[in-house]
Amino acid sequence: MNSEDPVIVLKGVFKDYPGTPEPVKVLHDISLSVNSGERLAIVGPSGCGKSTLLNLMGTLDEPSSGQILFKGQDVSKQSPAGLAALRNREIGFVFQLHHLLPQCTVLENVLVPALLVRETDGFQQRAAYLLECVGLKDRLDHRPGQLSGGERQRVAVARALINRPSLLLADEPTGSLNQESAEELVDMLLHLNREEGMALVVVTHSQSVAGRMERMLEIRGGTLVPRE
Amino acid sequence: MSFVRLITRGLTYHRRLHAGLLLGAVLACGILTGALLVGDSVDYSLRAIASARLGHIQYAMEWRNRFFGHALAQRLQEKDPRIRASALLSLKGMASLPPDRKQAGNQLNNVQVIGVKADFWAFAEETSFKVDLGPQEAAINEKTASALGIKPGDDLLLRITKPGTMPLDAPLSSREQEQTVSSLVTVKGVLSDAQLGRFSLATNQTTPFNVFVNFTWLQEETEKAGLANLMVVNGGVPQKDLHHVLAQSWDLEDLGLRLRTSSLDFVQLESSRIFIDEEVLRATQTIPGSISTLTYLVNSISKGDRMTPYSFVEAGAFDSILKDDEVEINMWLAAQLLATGGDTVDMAYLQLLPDNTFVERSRSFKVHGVVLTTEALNIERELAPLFPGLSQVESCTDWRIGMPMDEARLADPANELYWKQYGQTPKLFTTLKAGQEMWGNRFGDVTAVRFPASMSESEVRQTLRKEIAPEKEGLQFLPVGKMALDAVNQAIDFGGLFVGMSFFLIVAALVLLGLLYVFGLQQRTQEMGILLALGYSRNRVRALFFLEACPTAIVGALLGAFAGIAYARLLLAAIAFLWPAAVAGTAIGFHIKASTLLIGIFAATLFVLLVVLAGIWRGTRLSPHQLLTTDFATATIHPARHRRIWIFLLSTIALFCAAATIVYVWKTKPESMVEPFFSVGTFLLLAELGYYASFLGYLARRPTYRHPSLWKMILSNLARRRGRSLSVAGLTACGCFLVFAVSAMQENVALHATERSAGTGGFGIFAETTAPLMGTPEDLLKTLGTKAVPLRVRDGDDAGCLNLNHALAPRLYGVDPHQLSRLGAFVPQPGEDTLWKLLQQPLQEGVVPALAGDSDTAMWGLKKKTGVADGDVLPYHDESGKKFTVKLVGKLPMRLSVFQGSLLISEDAFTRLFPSEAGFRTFLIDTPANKAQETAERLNRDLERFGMQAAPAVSRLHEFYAVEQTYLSMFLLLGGFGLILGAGGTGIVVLRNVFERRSEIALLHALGYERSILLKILLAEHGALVLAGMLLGALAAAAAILPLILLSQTTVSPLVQAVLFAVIVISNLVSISVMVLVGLPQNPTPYLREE
Repeated sequence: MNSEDPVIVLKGVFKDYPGTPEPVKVLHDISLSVNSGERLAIVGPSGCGKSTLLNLMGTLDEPSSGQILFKGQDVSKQSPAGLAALRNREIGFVFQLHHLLPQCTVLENVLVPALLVRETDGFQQRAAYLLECVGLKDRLDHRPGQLSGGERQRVAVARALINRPSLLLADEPTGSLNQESAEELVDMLLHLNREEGMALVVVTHSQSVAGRMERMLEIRGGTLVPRE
Repeated sequence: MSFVRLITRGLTYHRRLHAGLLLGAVLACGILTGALLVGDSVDYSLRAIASARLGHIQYAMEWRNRFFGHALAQRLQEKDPRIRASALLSLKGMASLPPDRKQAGNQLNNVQVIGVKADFWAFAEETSFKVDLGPQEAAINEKTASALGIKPGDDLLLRITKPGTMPLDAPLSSREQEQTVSSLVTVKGVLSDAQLGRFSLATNQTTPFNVFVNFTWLQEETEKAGLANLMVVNGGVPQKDLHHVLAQSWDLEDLGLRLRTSSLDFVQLESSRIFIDEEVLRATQTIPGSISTLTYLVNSISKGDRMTPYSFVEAGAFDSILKDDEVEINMWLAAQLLATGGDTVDMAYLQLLPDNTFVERSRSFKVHGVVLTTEALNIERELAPLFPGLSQVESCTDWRIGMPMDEARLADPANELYWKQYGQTPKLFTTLKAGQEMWGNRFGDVTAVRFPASMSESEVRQTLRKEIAPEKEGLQFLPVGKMALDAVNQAIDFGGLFVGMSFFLIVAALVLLGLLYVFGLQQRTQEMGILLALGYSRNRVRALFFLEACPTAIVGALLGAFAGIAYARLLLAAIAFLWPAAVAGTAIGFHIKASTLLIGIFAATLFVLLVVLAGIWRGTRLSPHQLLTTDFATATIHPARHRRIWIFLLSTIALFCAAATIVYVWKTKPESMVEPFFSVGTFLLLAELGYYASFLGYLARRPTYRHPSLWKMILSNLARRRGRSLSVAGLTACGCFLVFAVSAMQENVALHATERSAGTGGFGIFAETTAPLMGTPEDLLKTLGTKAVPLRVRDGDDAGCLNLNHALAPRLYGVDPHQLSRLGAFVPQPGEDTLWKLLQQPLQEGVVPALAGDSDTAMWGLKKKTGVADGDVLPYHDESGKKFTVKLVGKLPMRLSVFQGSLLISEDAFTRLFPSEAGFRTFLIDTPANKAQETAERLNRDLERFGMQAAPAVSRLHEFYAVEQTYLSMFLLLGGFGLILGAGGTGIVVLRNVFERRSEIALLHALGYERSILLKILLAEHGALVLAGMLLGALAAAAAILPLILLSQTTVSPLVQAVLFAVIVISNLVSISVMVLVGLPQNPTPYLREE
């Protein structure tokens, strides 16, 4: 895929939530294109719809209207199983809270998405490589409960990348981390972005995190505007 | 890493969640398997009883009230070496201690006195067992020994009924003989079940009182030399072969027939029963030239003012020369009456009615001629049938027959002289047709058949043996072994019964399991969200969680099977000590069937996994985003508007259905109230819970309270976790519904017992005798010393609640419908006579109308429909072995009556079908309720020799009702356990709620709420849930029970209901209080940080 080809394109996307007396309008006429390997930051105040936008891009939620194209394919035309497969193969998620499976070890957590891939050869090595990349080479058999917040988040990053996604979506990845851990995590994300070549979309409050991305957009009044 | 690893990781990490699941599975499987094992144990015990009562006997030929030659058994064995047959003489009797040891009231009635030969013991399960019984020696079973407190070596006084070879009710039947014979016997041994101590042909699990005595001795004592009335045969011979051998082996004497050759070489066939059976008569008619005759004793023959009393007359001998209105008279009579050919003579005779009374009728005849030849008269004298008690007496005054006679007339000197000179020689001859019109009765209308002189006795014998089918005479083997097993196979399904009774307990266990599991799953929603976000499809996530639950469910069910064994043992112990009436006092041995365990394990696993699947399904309905971001501890999820509308609509439909069912019940008054009761209850519970859900939904969506208060806050909290609130209220409502409704079903059978419409028929005493009381109603009045309705009885299976086996041919009572109708007994409204008229309903040939003893007999005992048009039929054999069907045209309208387990047919039909069932053995005695006990005691004392067993009729109802009452108690107790389990479930919900809201509680604490106020809030919140459930349940119970109260004798005890209500409130309050106290932190402040 050419680096200029868009991985994901949003065209005139609206998102409302039911409410009384009227529906709550969260996103209004959002159009966006993210190219392969691109690093994009989305910022905005709390409750402006950043996470909603990220969930739409990650097919975790459906738009009220508008179109989302992933690698040129309209995601609304996909079956639930097709969407699940898309998330598994093409999209990686990093949440503000790490959301690791507490019962699994670090290595197992990273390998959970790989279980759905038929050809599993090499995933063990890749998981080990990714965990080495995120600095957790020595913690493979630890449980999430035995890790610090920053370490858990790094496991989540490794898990997000295990299936070599085209798009990595990070929702406030540093939100629950201290300054030092946050910086380390951003460094790591950028490093992996370069290494793996996937597009990176980060939703953040942090100006310093956003500032390290190629492009920065802001949600203001439900619409997406370029951030100066 | 693999899916298996992922599953095992979940299994081990979430072990607490799985522990809850395991507990639920153990409980559900334990209760289910235990209930089924009780069924297995009852079934096994009934089979063991059936096997013990018959030993190795497979076939039996029982000729009730009739006797065959005991040598028949020997002949069968000689014809086919595969056959092992033993002839028995089985008679009813009474047993008591000898006079010097006897205490009042300790006589055993309805004892089976069985004369056995040594070969009988070969049929015992204990094959090596043998006891040689000499004259006046007896072997008794354990029940008899225990009831009388006797042991080997002790003496036993037996009073044995002595049925005549002739039916005692028959005209010309001798009344000379005593009906019972007493004898002192020495007990030689006490027989165990394996030694045929339980021997009985009745398909009933109740052990009879058995006394085995020497066969020949019993024959001699009861004047039945050479006779038997029961033959038992081993298995291993097909029934067809057995009947084939029987057909080759029987002889005329086995049917009580005898051939007599006169001095003029006439062969005549006579019956020891006076009248010749239809089947035999049919066979005789195949012999050309055979002449049927009917000999009778008439009251008088007169011409004008000349009369001769008590004369033998004969019909049939002169048919060739007589018309039906003509008679031939002998010279003596002609001289007495101064009658000759062309004169008219009047004949007065007695006609027998079904109630044993005789009415005098008369008929006039023209004298055709006078029999002048001595030879002709000599033949008639010689061939006059022999009537015991009549033929061999010296004087007419010594006649003892079953017809009322005038002593003065009996002493008529001329007649006496005739008797001395000519004996039974008939004085008058009519045609057979005329004779049968006058003297034909239920016992027959031919007393002898003469064959042409050209036929020798052996030729006649040969022809008759060829023509008569012995089975049509009732001489046939029944496969009693198979019938016993069939009766057990169709017996009450105790497994099903206990599953039904434990149903609420099982549901409570599953709801508890559901609550525990769903709470656990709610802690794992993020896990589901992660997997969905990572690209796992919803079905795959469901499959992972489901597969994770499978091992727990299976292990739980396996452990539950062991718990089930313990539960079954507990239930059996409870049955033995608390509820013996449920199994009619039968000892139930514990028995396990591997298939039952497997069924229990499989069913419990299935139920548990269905609950698990429902929880998982519910959990994975939400989007990954919702799963990842929603805090289920605090979130309130509103159902979509269309769902709310559906819930409201369905609730309204359910309410409408409940109302429609009540109206239907009210209008149609159906036979069974059980289905309407549960229908109304289910519809109402559904409607109530639907409305309750809607109300909670309204509270959740309510506008802001302008004036908030603590109570309003509590109301809001109720609506936060509607699923939990509904589970608690629903569980409590269902439990309360069952407990309230079942407790309200208790019936006071004594309440209206003195009324004619009651199950007692308004009679004070229900009495039964072992030996029948003979005579007319007037005779009985004299014997009993009180007014009574006598009933005839044909023994059969008990189709009532005291028999656990399926009744094949229930006991039949012959009743006089006119008498009961006149009294208005057992009819719902005074003056209504449609019920008893049903017994006279004309039906097709061979079908007899019958009423079921009460509605429980029809519905539960027989499981048959009643009605003139669509009533079910039951197959029976009449006394001569002919098949007929009894059609259930109706039933006594009450649920319980003194006739439970039996069928009632008209006396006319009864006496026609069972003419040999002489006399009356059951009596409904009219006596004031306050004198019932005293009168019953007097009757028992005065008529002890008949084995009188009289008791207040209401106590018989109590005896039957005890079974139902026991079931209700069991249901209540098990339902109570269910409520306790339900209270446990409520406790878990409370604890969960409190834990989830610790930070909220901490906040309220920070805002100045004291701990006591927090306690009050939490108690009020959860107390309201339970109270709502109880009110919903009570309301549904009240509505469902309403038709029962209005249409039956159900009486509700407000005290019992109030106590139950209090117990449920207290147990739930205790459960809630304990859990709130456990969950509410002493110092909530640290939980603020979580907020």
